[in-house]
Amino acid sequence: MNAIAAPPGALVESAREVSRGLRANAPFLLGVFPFALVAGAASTDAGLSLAQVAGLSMFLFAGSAHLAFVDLAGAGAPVVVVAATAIFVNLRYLMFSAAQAPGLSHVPRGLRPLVAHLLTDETFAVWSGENRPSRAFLLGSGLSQWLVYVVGALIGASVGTQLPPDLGLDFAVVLSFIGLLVPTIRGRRGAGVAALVAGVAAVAGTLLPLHIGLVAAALLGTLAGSLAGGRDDA
Amino acid sequence: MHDTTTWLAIAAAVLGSFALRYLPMQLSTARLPSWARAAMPFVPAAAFAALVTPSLVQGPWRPERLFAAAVAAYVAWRTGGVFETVLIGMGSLWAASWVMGAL
Repeated sequence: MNAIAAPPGALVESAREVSRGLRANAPFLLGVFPFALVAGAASTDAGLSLAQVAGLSMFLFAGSAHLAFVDLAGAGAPVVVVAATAIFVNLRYLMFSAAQAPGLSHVPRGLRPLVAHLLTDETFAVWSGENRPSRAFLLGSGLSQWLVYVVGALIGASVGTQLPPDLGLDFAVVLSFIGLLVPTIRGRRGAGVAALVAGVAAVAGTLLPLHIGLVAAALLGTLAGSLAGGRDDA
Repeated sequence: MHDTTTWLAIAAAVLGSFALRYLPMQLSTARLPSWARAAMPFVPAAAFAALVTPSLVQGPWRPERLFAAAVAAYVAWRTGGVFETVLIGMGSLWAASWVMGAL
């Protein structure tokens, strides 16, 4: 944004839009911060360095994929499986990005990589409620979440290992997945079938080597869901 | 994992995830086959479910975790919030562990 050269009225308008973006995303930050703490703590538990936690939180910037990544890395899965699983968990962004494309066609090409990077479950929800959101709104909502996530992950990585293990902090990871899963299947038959098939297949898939069961189960569930799902699922 | 291999995995995950976020925004989505577009809405449910279930049944028998997961699922159903789900789920886990220890 060329804020300095902009007339005062436009500057005020930009500030108002940044603030509106911040406020629109604020409720989600209540979920993002503990999620980031957990992801940071789980990263340290899995043997990642603070620099690697910073790298994951700043550049991967995807909570669920971050958790899946450290879960598999900590279990000693091969590089290809760790990276492929994180990418598979992020496959939904392909859909989110495609869905946002028409509404973001006014965003300048140079800014699109940054806006794309700030696309998460939360910002997708916030941006979907807007008609051609301004750059200031996009950055206000996206960068605030980015900052909260990175800071939360680094705090979690720093203090996580000092927490007593019998608190079962690792289980917060599973609970956060449940918190994301349940609303996605609520009232949607296809998504319910997808979750059921993937959930059962993933348990059976633990018998497969190289943690390949997770990707296989998610693919199988996705396929089953799209076969069972109706128009209302889209 | 070795330090270098971890960085390698981070780089691959970052590049792959960025491509997923950026390319559809930049390219026409009409090129995707229709069955792939139709399957996309089911990816989150399938992926999260596949992440949850093994961690509930693998390893030693821990009924307090199953209890906490059930409470969390109920909270998530009612509130739809990750924050509430994690907080109340962890509270349930600690309460159940305390009760089991006291018995």
